[in-house]
Amino acid sequence: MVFFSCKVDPKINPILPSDDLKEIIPPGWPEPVYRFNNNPIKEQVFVLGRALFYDPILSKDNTVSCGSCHQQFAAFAHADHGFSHGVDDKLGTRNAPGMFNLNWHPAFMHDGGVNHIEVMPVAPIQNPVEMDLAFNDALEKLKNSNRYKKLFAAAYGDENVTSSRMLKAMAQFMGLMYSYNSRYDMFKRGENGVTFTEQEQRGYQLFLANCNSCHKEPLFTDFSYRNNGLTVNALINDSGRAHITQLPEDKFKFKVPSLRNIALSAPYMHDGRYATLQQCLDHYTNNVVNMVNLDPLLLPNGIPMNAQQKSDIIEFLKTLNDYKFIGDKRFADPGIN
Amino acid sequence: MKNIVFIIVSMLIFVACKKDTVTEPTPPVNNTPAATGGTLKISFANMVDSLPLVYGTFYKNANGDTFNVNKFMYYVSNITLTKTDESVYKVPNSYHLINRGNDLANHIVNLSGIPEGTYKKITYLIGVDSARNVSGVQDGDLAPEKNMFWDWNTGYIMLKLEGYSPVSGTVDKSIQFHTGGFKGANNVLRWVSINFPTNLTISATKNPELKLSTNVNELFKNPNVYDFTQDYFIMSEGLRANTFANNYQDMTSFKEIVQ
Repeated sequence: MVFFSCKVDPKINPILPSDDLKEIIPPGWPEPVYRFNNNPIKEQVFVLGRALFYDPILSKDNTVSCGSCHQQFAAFAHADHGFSHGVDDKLGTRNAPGMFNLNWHPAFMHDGGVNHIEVMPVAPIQNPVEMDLAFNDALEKLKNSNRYKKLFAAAYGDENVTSSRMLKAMAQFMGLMYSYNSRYDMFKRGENGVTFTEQEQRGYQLFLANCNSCHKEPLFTDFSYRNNGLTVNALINDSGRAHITQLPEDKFKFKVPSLRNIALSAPYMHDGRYATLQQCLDHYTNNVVNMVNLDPLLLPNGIPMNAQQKSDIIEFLKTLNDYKFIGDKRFADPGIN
Repeated sequence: MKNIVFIIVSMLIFVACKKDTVTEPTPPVNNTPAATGGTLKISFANMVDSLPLVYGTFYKNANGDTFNVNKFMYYVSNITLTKTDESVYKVPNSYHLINRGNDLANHIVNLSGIPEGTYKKITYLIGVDSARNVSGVQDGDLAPEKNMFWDWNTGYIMLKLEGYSPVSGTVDKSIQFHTGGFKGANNVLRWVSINFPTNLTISATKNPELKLSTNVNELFKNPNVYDFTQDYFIMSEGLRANTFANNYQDMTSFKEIVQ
């Protein structure tokens, strides 16, 4: 009986046996912030986290899951959605960011308001314009689900559904989403004879000269909060980081996003206002507004680049697409929700 | 150079100690429960001045505004007990949500494994220390489903009072005070120290009760008098939450010890 209850539910797509679930720190990367302390990596815990991530049971009317707005083919951003729609088609006010290499993030959300990967899911579950489900009610729904009783038992040895188990399983699933196998990575590691074209090489040098101070290698962000001179949408008037710190010097600052998988995860900026990478680069040459708290690196005139240089940079940015990551079946919807 | 640093550090310590605030006990602290220790029951009675707090019943604050309460919850953590010989016992993993709910019984914190001896003082934090605010999901009274957790700006709501006042500026005439914040200038954590007029004896053969009394009106009275037509709503960290925390720091007082 004990043996039976510890086996993974056969209906749940097992993880491919050839795939290892383990912490990864690619060579040359800094030490992650989150190290799975008190959350030992285990296949059944990962499977539970994945089930929760893709299950609309965590929304008020069972229509929206985490995966609704975080799609694997878009590197877990929301493809072609400036703002995502939650239950009852309610629209949010910020763009759903991509999800990968999350263990290195000191804080989450565009304003850095969430300080730990384990408590991250509580915010979208409870947000009235996202999943709109009181966290208590989410737990109740899981407790009443025979499927989750089995999943929790497989993961933790008994059917007890607790917020701690639920959130650690989700942290495990999300934390194991590593993206480190783009052409750029293989080029840097000298793997498989990957080389850059002349244009990509030029784009890389331009990137290092113009972008790398904020979108710092190897994570392609320094995780700081900056104002990059976007006009303020008066209807939203999003104060960004200042919403969290209450500090005037943080007004209109947003977390620097990683540029990994950037060509896969349009649209761009905290409010999704730009549909293409070309528009993003045009912003830095033509449209930076000299406003309160504008990042000094963008003074006096944004980032000067000519048309050829922009297209070189875009070619380089495409080398950051990690097709192995977006095609990794371990992170795909198990398809039984 | 070293002397200058020493002087500066000493000045900083002096400045930090100048205000008459309670800090965490510093003597050598024992935080190992005793195998043959005793128990202590701590009860928090909620009062409005001399009247017991009953949810939905109308009272008046110091400003003369009529109000009632339908939710009053706060964290008490890091409980330490000081003996008459000044030695200190720190209760391990001590996090308690004081939430009387609609039940008129006082909220009870039951402690066990307290080293035997004679105690003269209890010290605790109103709120949850910063370490537990930044370490991911927590269990027990700290679980996020206790509804004392900000999901959009991670951290615990240290104290929550909600109710109704006909003079409130909100459309539904509610009054809502949620305080949080554990960092820097926005830190609303407050140490409380309560001396016992009579000593408390802990022994394996006794089951004493420490009765404390929390006065809701103290939240709105001292040092700042709250006028519910102007101040009826706190929902984020910052100066206003801090001002409110200064008010509620001394909301709880000694009532009696039942040996």
